Formats: sequence, structure tokens, C-alpha cells
Amino acid sequence: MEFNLGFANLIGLLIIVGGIVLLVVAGRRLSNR
Amino acid sequence: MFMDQVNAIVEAIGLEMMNVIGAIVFILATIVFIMELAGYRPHLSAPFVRRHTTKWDAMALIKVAIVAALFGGGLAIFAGVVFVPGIAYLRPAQAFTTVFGILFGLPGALGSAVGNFIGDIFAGTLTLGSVAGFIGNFMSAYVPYRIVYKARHADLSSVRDVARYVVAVVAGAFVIAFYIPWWLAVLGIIPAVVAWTGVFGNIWLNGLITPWVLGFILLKVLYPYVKRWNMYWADSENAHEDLRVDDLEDTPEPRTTYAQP
Repeated sequence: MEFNLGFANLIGLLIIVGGIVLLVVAGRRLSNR
Repeated sequence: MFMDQVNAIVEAIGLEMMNVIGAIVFILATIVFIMELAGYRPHLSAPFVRRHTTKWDAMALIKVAIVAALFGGGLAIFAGVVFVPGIAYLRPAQAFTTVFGILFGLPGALGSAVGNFIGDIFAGTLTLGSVAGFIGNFMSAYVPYRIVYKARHADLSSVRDVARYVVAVVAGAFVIAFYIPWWLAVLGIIPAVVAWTGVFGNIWLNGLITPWVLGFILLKVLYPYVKRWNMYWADSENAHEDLRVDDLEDTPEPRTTYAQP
């Protein structure tokens, strides 16, 4: 097993935060309530 | 961790038998994948092939994008922890495929496929094997979705629901763990021995442990929100009432994200 964590992995974290924001925004604004 | 036990099982079954099971799983899963994209769904009771209710409207595409982002990003975070260089790495994000397959249905499964592609790019594992990765991860969301297919099951409100979820994870992990190594072995991307004793166990455990633990928590937390937002697959697709009612007390009247006629 090798450990090789770096910049690309950090970008992954940013994308995941973006995905959560997208989920909540889509849910709250487009949910046809 | 657990790899030795899995490899002991693989050795007991034998590489030849693993190849045979892999071939059967690969062919069946590929047929199902193509059918689903074409708008048809196989069932275990007559009529065996029916049209499914997924419409690729704006909400479906939003779901694909969300799941692709979450899964792709989640894979990238731990892509540096490598088990088999160029092929397998630590994937706690695999929990997303199970959860969003169950919540979003077909768009969630397609998002998992696209997300795996993004993850492969980040991890530097984008090879011909990624073709199998695309369909394999589609199946790892699709299989749990077909097992935990009702809102009453997805709310995890009883022991039976939890048991159903556990079985769904096992089935999903089983399909992807046979699907990808078989493709890798047949194309000679890696030797058959490595495919079945290295990659198989990795994919299986990746698809089993975090979906059980992290996936269970995620589904429990996310389900009430997704249901309230009318983003649960059966609500979005205006499916049969029986698929849309759950056992939670504070779930509002089901509606749909489709534009009303």
C-alpha cells in the first residue's frame, strides 16, 4: 500500500463541497413544493 | 485487512470458476445496462421486460451531475492510497453509489458511472479498464436501487429495512467485484491471477465496508431531506403510489418535480 496524497486530492475535497452545495440548492429551489 | 480471507475464498473457488462466474455476471450486467439506457427494464415476474418511468428531464440531469461530482470528488480525496498500482485504491466514496442509487434511481446510477470516470482521471487510473469501471459502478448503484426500491424500504425505519439494505450492499458489491476483474483479465490489462487475487478482493471490500457503515448513516440522514425535496426517484418519476409512501411520520404529501400538465 502506498500513500501519495497531494494537490489533486485536495481538489477532490473542493469538488465534494461543491456537490453538497449543488444538492442542497437543487433540493431547496427546484423541488416544486 | 480482510484481504487474506477473501483471497482464501478465491483460491477455494479456483481461478477457472471465478472466470466463469465473471463472464456470466459481465454479460448479464452489460445487457441490463444497455436495456436501461434504451428505456426498458428487466423484471423477475411477467411481463419480464417493461418500460421504466425515468424521463431524462432537467431534474434527472441535475441528479447525474450532483452524484458525479460527489462520487468523483470523493474518489479523488483518497486516490493516493494505492493497493494495486494503476488499478485499485482506497474508495470510501463507494458509499455514494449505494446511497444515491437508492435515492435517485437510474440518474443516480448514471452519475456513479460518470463519477467513477472522473475519479479515474484524478487517480491516474484511466485505462481501457475504465470502460468496465463505468458500467461496473453503474451496476453498483443500480443493483441496490432495484433491491431497496420502495420509499418504505429506503427510510430504514425498521430492522427489516436495515436487513434489506445490508443485502442490497452485498449484491451490489458482488456484481462490481466480478464485473471489472473479468474485463481486466480477458483483455490482458493485468494477469488473471492478479485480477482475481488482488483486484477482486479490493473492489469487493471497497464496495462492502464503507457502504455498510458510511452509506447506512448517509442514507438515514439524507433520505428525509431528499423525500421532502421531491427528489426521491419515485416522486420525481411520478411512480406508483405504493412506491412513494414511507413509514416516517413527518413526510409531507408526495408531489413530483415534473411540471404538472
